[in-house]
Amino acid sequence: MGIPLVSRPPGALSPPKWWSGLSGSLPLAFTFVAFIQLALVEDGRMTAERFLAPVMLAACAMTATWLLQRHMPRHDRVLLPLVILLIGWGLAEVDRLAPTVFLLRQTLWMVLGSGALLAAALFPHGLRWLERLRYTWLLLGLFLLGMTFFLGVNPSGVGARLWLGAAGFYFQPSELLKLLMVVFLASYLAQRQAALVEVHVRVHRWRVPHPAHVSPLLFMWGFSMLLLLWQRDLGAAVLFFGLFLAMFYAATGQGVYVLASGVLLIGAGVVGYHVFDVVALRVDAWLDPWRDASGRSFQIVQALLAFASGGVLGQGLGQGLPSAIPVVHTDFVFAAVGEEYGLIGTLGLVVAFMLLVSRAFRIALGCQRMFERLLAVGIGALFGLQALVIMAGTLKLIPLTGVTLPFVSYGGSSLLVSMTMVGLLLRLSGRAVVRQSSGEGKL
Amino acid sequence: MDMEWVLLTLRALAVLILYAFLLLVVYLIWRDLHLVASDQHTGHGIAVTNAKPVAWLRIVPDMDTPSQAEMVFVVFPPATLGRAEDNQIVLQDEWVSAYHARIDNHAGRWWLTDLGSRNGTRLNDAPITETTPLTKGDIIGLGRLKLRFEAGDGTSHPDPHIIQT
Repeated sequence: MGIPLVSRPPGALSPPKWWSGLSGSLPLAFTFVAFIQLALVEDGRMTAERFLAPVMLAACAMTATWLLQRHMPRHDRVLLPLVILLIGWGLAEVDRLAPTVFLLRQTLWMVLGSGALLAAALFPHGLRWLERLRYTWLLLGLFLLGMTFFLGVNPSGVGARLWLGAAGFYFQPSELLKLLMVVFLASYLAQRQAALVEVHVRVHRWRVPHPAHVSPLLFMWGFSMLLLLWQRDLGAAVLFFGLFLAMFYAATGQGVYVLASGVLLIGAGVVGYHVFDVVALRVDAWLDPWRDASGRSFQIVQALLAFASGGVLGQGLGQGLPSAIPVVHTDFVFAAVGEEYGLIGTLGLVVAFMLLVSRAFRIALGCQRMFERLLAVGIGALFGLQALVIMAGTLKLIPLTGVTLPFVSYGGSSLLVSMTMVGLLLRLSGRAVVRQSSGEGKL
Repeated sequence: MDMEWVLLTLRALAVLILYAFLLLVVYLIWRDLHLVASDQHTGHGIAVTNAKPVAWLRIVPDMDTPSQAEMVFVVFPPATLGRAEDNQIVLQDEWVSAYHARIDNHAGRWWLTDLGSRNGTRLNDAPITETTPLTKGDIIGLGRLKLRFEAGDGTSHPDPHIIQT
């Protein structure tokens, strides 16, 4: 509430049919070209199993497009093609960088993700239950986090224990936590929005921060710090705090708290630098990677070399040496793109993410209820932040924090959750123009 | 053909496809935003619905509901008002009936009809029993709500800055 809600008459948003067809098929064409390149470079034989992944992607994409057009004719027409481009690119990179079994696994997750996407988009009941159970989501998220603390494992044997595993099947709860957190924050902020905008406390002539603003802020800050302390998961800590700030700003329009929180975050960074070795290591590697180029900052140095050898046009897919970077298929996939597709490719990837985020915000503008708006903003901010943090990290623009590049990196939980979020966005876009209606709650 | 040439062609093709796709997406987004902008310019939706007469209902803040933020509903005649979700204008107030009232435009005039609501419809604080003409600035009362009726001539907008969607 608080923002006048006026909706457009239905039917104005759908583009001509052949454009939808073209924008749906170009990402698939891109993926197939990539797999042909890889087959030619490796041994020149075009066997059928080589193309299992892109064929599955095409099947999923076509099914999803058909079902969405049939059941939700007013959904956003560019969102799904953008996501298909990113996923197809990701599959090609997994094929390029990781063993064959990884590609099969990723393809399987992609199929599961398509199911989740369609379920989230077409689930027949409204989203009110999602909104009402806000504290359930928060508790569930905290519970999952606690589970990893006690039962967490790392499939590769070393490093942060962020996975829950059973029978060779691993899931990373912090990925699900992202979705739960977006839903919780959207619901919480939508409920409190009117109060948050209106309250001011004055001491003499100065406006001072109101507890209503400061307490959720401090809570989220504490939550992020907890992640850092418990799990040594710097990426998740930064991501959750950034997500909260973006949604808080979208709900209240109070820029001063964003600034204050930025200071808080930098303060935490300075303290963290002296207290936690995981932070100190990252910051040292950022400030001067060459001091320990063959040791602790080996990864970032290799990534920089990969970008350098890629140049403007790139080495060509399958013709570079991106496997020199450790764990290149997850956190450093952007460096592999930089080496083999060059600046042209990386710019294209950045633009694709930019468009994805801009679509999410556009969908938010078309929504009627504050919860839906904030949900769309949160999902868009999460994709944007995640892509920004890891791309800038690999480029040594900011200290490196290990998060996945949404849709592109190898990682089943990440792909599944990201596709579910896209499903939610599609759902919100499909409903946005249907009804002339009022705001939520009682007038 | 040489293998190197094939690979080079494929690389060029990949870049071409990538940028053709991105340009197409940018164009579709531009088109979408352009439509919204033209809607805002002419008054919401008029460009699309072919210059129908348009009116607005603005919630009048009340002592009972002091925190009520300012809200505006666009009226595309004929418009039904009520609590049910399939009304054109959904009013969530316990004292409003599911299908409470209707606003029409006939013969160049605006008309208000009560649809047999439980608590009645008031026009400038007087209950109406039959279809009544509406003029600019009238206050329509439904349940506990008061709505100011504002009609435009199709070109002007009551308050352009309020349209943010």
